[in-house]
Amino acid sequence: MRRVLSIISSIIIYLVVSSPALARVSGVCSNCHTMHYSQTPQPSEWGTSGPYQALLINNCVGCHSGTNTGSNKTPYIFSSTAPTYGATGTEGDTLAGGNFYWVANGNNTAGHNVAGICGADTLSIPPGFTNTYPDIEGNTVGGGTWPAGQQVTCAGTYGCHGHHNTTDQVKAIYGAHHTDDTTIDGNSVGTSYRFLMGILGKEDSDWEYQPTSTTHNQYYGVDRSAVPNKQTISYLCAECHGYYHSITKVGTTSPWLRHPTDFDMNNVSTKEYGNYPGDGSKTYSVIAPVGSVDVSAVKSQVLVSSGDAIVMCTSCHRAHGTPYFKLMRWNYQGSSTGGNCSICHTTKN
Amino acid sequence: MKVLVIILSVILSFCLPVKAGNYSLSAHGNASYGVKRDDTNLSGYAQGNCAHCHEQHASINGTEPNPSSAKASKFCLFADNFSGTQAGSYSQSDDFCFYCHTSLESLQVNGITNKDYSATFGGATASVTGIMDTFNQTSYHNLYDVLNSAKSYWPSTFTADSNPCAACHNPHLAKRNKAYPGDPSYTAISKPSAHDQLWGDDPGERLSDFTTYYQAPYYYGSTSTYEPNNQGKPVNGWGSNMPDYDSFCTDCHNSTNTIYSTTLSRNLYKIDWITAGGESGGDKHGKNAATTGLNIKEPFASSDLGITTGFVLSCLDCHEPHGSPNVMLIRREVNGGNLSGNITVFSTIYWSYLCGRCHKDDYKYIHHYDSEAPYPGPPKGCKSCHGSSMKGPINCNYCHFHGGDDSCLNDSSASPYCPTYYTGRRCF
Repeated sequence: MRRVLSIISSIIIYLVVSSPALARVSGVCSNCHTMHYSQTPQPSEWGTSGPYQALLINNCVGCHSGTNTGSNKTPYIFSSTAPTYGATGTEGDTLAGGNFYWVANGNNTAGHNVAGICGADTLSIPPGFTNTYPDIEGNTVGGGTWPAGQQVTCAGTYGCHGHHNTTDQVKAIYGAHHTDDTTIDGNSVGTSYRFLMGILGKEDSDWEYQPTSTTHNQYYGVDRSAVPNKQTISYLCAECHGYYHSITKVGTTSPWLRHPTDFDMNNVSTKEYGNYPGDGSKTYSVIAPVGSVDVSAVKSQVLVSSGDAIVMCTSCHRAHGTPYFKLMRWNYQGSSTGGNCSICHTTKN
Repeated sequence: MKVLVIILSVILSFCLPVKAGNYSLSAHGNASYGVKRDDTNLSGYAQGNCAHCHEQHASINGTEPNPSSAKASKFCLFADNFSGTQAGSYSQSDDFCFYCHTSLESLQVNGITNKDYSATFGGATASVTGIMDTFNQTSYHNLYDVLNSAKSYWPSTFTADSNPCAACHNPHLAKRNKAYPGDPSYTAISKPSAHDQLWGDDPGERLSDFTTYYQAPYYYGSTSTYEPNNQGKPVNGWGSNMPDYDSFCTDCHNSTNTIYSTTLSRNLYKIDWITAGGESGGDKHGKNAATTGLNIKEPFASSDLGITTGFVLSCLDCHEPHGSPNVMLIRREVNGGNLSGNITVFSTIYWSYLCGRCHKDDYKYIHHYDSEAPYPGPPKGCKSCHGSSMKGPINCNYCHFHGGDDSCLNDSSASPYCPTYYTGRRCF
């Protein structure tokens, strides 16, 4: 009897402990799917333009619209009412990628102009676009060209998530939500960081809802080299904004031609950067985060050893949107000092 | 044990990264008058914001604001730091700073007014109103040479990619001294040997710390107020209201550094502003003192320092830092008044325009009739020194220059050759 109890207890403990690591969707099928898209009255959470592919009840934006509470199982990246962002997006109800609310509500430069959320950008192509950054599968965004007026999409050929060689957004991430992503290895969409094909990283269980130095995403970054690592979070951005990642367009060391990404601040820790995040404590800053080569665990301290303080695109920007110009994490444009630039540029406060 | 802790603490303090500065207190970072590039693409950026000088992605919102070079510049600047030109006159594209610091087509919203030292701290009527304009005069701090020297002596700080202006200024720290001419805590300069900190803002960095024998010259048009702020004697003594310019300038222009001047096609005279010792010492306008009496004007003649010799001058009592209508960056206004005319060549008798601002301008008396005159009498054989015409003074620069003495009298290859009268006096 004692042995049986022990086994049962072990199973319970295993389930409790291991569940947060399993980010694949859980719950009843009808949370996401409908067999006939014919229920009357139609549930409010369903989209109104159905039926949808894969018997879904809504499209990408529809399912991921809402208000984050910290306990929601679906990450909400678009809200119909103004989210609480605060000064840096770390204390309100937005997640790591921010929110598309602002770009959808008249602030054209505050987010990626994703089709289905807002109108097309005034920019004809992504700034810094080049066709020389294929993803790990060898697929280049847009097949290497970006037609004028083409909007960015959530997934697919012109999207961030899923396969770039698949036009259909649903097909581009097919099966990803049901994949066991206990191990993020970048080998499939489902086992890539946040379904970003090939990208690595450690996923925070609540998508960085009010993150702290001990509870946050651990982004994958690698010190830059002539042959870029295709699995860093910054490389994902470079797939569209290649000039901003390029060795020739950015440089390999100071003086930089453009602000570097995938650069290890350990290389310059004897300079002002050694005082990160401004007080020299080297505590991981959720306001201006840095990536790392080792993403097996969350880092609360950085600049401890080589490869643990990698400058990323997402050190300054959020991928979806913020209230601020150019999706900046903080109000860079509105600050005489650049605001939180001084978290890294510690003498420029 | 306690000693060990102290030693370890000291060692550790040197290992720690540099302390945080304060860009927001700098002139460029000021929210009211800081950098603000006049371009519609930047209109939404706060005054002082990084983007007015640095374009993080070599573009703003997908386009490149003015000036558009169609290329990315180092340090993410909106234009190249320095063109590498070896001589003036300079244009905006020669130096990044000139894009704003000029009176013509400044990129700064509403422009910037920068007068020369003679006007800003001396009180003279402005003759130029932009830094680039001050350089584009008869003489100027050759930017090519400045950068070469900085690279040579502080290679870990300055490289071929550096801006020459950065040898003397840290753009992220420099303050608006021009608005507070008597308050060195608003200094705009940083020693090249200590680029990461201001010079003059802290106690111990004032001219009064370098010497207690500084007498400030008169402010322009006044016989009761003084440089640099048109006020009386500062509470903490002469020189306490300005940076220690002597230590600043001698960071480069000292008795050991060899500095080549492309403009002059020769090495600059080395300057020993420190060594006392009379005729075997350094410059008598520095810490060395005159070995004879002086015939000097006010406010030196009646200085409350209680001395009539041994004054230590500030380099900027005579020199402009950027450029001047005179040779050798000589100020156009000295000791309360303008020079009588421009000194346009080095070899001339018209150095009296400068020297006469403080010294009684009677060359014949000083050289021949004063009780301590070096060539009393005057001696016979005037032609030896004065040439066949025997009229008037000879060029001052035979003897009077940094480090100079009257050893020219011993040079048989050139006039004036009259070794009989050689005194060995240090003449500067």
